[in-house]
Amino acid sequence: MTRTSARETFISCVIDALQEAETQLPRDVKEALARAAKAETSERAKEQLYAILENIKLAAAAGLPMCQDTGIPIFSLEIGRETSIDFNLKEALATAVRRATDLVPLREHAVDPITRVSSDEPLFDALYSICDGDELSVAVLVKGAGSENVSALGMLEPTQDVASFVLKTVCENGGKPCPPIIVGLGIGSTFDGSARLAKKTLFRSLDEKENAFEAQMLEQINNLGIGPMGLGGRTTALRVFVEKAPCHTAMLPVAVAIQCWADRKARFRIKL
Amino acid sequence: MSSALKTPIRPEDVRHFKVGDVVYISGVIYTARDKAHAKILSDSQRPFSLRNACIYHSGPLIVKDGPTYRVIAAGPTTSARMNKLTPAMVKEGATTIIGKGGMSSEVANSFSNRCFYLAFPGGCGILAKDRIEEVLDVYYEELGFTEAVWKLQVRDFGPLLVAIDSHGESIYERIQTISRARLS
Repeated sequence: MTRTSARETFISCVIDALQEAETQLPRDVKEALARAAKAETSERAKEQLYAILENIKLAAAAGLPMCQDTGIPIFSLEIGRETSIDFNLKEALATAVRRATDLVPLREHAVDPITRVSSDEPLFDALYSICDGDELSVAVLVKGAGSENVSALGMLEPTQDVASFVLKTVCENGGKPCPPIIVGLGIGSTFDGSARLAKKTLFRSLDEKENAFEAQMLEQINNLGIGPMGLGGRTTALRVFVEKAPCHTAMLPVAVAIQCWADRKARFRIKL
Repeated sequence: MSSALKTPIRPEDVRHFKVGDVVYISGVIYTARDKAHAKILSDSQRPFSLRNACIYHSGPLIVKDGPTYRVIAAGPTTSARMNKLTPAMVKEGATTIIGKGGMSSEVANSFSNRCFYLAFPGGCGILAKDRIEEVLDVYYEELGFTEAVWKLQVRDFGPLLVAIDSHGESIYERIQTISRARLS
């Protein structure tokens, strides 16, 4: 494979993944929403969830983005240590996002953070890690501003209660992040390390078996009664994911990464 | 109760609605989010009137197709970001606010029998787009397509849940009182 074609192959796979994520909600999320619609007892909550399910169907049929906030693509790249990549990954991702903006299409909502003037730079974030094998594995998560805006990071004191911080974050933000949400918790590590842990959990499948702490957190969040779109109901969250790492004895970082119901994800793997 | 409303919607039209009612709107609506609110309120030569206007908190995904604009997706944005500037919009005559996620008690109190807040299901960009018949005009295009004010012709736009009524009654506040109580 020549240098150009490896880069081009990668770019076209990234564009396809973005297109898929924006237009087709993954099966695990759709099923969780459908289960929630059945489980709700309030008509109002049911109606919100049925509208969401209808919107998902229409978007997939039309091949159009399900939400006008086409979000921030967050890429997670696992690079096999036997892989040889002879192009600039970050540049290739930028090119793919730029092309996808016209093709999918994506909304052009990037601005300079100080002047607030529209920016031409493609908006995305990427997490890189090295793994075994000879493949490049790429996952993309599309994150809207509504849910990203209410995500939180607490540098708690070691004796403070993690669950209280999480519940307070979810409670105070009510319907803003477009519930039912998916909650990713990063507990421990450092200031930035906890945020990365939290973000990474959102790439996991809702089918994964939850552990006791995750199940307990989910139950407590749903007991708040915020419900779909903050209009009341049983389903405030579809899933809680937790990832932890050791931290300094004087610290307790807790990051709460919140994702909207439009939990847009896609993945692919290639040998370059 | 489910009702069909036609724009312009006057203060006397919103008064008899109560939280929990569902409405569908046909006629003209204007999108506006953060920057547009500031612009509209400070513009001495405002290109449209806020009197009996219907404001839609949305940054639609719109592309230019030759001379025409094509709406790709147009669901609501988080209304709480417009909390501070909304009482001024109501004072200028806006009677209908459409958005998602709810608004503050200050906003609810500013409604005083002449404006109400309607919730469109969040994230439902295609449901909303399918009820938009035409892009009639665009104002403040220099803010970019996301932040600009789009004048849209809509038909049976909804389902819109009366989430804060003109008397200041708010579903969000009711729910928040319950969830805060369950926190402690």
